Amino acid sequence: MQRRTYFYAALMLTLVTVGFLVVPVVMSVMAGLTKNFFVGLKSGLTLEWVFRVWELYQDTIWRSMGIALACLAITLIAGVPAAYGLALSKSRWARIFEETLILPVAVPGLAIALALIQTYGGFREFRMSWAFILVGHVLYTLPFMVRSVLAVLSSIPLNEYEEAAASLGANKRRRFFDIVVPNAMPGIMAGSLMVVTLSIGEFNLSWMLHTPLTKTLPVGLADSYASMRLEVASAYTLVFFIMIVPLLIAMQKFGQTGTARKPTQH
Amino acid sequence: MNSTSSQNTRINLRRCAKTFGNTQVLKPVTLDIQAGETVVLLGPSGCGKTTLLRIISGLEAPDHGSAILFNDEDVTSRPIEKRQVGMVFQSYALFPNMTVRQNVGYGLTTGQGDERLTKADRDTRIETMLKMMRIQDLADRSIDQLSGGQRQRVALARAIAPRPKVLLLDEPLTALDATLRDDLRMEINALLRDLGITAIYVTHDQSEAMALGDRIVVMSEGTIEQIGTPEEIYHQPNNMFVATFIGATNALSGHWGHKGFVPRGMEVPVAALRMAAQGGNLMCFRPEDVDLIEDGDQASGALKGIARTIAFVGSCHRVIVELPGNQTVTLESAWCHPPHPGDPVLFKIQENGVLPVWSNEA
Repeated sequence: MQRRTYFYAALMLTLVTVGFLVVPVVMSVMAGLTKNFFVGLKSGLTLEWVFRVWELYQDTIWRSMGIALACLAITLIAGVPAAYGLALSKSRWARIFEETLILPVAVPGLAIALALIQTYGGFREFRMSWAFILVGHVLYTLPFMVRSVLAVLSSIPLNEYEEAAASLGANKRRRFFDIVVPNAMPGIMAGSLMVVTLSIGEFNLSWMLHTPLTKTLPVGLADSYASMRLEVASAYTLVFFIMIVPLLIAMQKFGQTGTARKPTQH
Repeated sequence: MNSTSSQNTRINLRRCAKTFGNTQVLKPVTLDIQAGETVVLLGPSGCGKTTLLRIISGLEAPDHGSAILFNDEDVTSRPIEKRQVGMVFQSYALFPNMTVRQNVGYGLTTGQGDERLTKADRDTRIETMLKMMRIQDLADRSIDQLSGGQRQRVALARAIAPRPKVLLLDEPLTALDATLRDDLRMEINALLRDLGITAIYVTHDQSEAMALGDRIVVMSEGTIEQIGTPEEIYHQPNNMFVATFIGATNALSGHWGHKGFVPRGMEVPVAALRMAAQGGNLMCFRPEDVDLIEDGDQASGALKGIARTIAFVGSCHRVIVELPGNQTVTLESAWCHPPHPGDPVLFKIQENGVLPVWSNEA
């Protein structure tokens, strides 16, 4: 009897907590879909605000997606070989480098942005293009890619595979593409999803680095909250959810299959 | 077997040494390996045998002044991928992202050597390899679906498929259980004979070395102790290390008099003076190189002791005998009536049984 009471008490607590967190999300979504938020649901549901967001801010959505993909490309090209190098190297410098890579994660985005502006703000064309934001995003997301790939490479006998492939005549390039990349795939996938998700949602750096012509989605969102009707801003949030939630689910799913596969590897 | 035989390669090592940091783990080694020969590098762990193998493969660069020749061609500065060596690793190192077939065929796609193979050539070669190692049924399996023995077969097939100049095997059987090890050892032996390929095999297991090697190179602490056929190594060890590392050896202490060896605590010589064995204060012989005297007739030069431990080991009995002077020896012989603990045992060391090694007891 006592156990049952405990069970229901715990259940209630969980539900209250979940409710506390979920209600604002639901409210926000509803706000984006009702005709007049202050009147409430009885004013009726509409997609008008969503279309308005599309009209006003679709450039920020495309830009954010573009930056996220460019960021992904750069972190893949730079991050995977970097992780490979770090995994093979046994030197102390490699470990130190590995640690410094996390620095951009620990330093506040605003500080990084300021440093970038101080150093490169003088290059006008660069400062005014979306590439300026891209640089900030790469700095911020690269460690996630490297760490994610490195974690997988450190868990397999990479050196032995390398030596075996080399004994079969494979040069460095072949070894990288035939052996390293396929075996690092779980890490590359997890890292990629992380990079895209982080880049799309990144606000601190983007806020400092953007110009009125290079707004990203989160910056546009802040802008709409400040200057538009609440319904528009809420509809904007809804659009953001639609973009980011599938990525988050994919990440979650991938993380699970990634860990589930490990025992069979040995 | 013509389709799988490879060109025979002679290997010459000239003063090959390796230093890690301040330690020279491999003292300068000079070794000539005949084409088609199987040479076993044998020694305890840390003796430098794996380092030597890795130098031959090109995975490790030797110290300055070393030279490695494949058929008189200097390959010292070539990395492993340009040496056309086949390698089998202790851990197999099969690629988990590829099927069995893809693993076996990988070396055919890298364009090593001067061979340019068409897709059809490659497929035929892979099929031949799979058939030879009897793993056709596993061709499309992934690596983590294979047992240890199957993995080893795949690793062998993968190493041989590109027709390497030399096959290098680094303790390939260590990770397997005993029965499987014996079976695969025989298979590897037959395979190496069939292919006629030059092979270098590293192991710490002396029975593996005896069974596989045309010649055995016994190593310890970075130097070669002896090079010879299994028979030579066993019957004519160069020194105490080889005598004790290969097979079981009894070492009796005593002194060499002008009539032969007199064990401690005894008055008459028990082994005739012969060969270069004399010297030092030890006399070594194998447990099986003794004649038992079971009918009680006292022959000259016989040793008499008390049986302490008796074990039946299948082909014979192994008896540990305590001799006067507080020495024990192990005897292996087919007793008609094996002794019981405490029984007297009378035996003679066979005339050729004394090993040509001498040492001053440490």
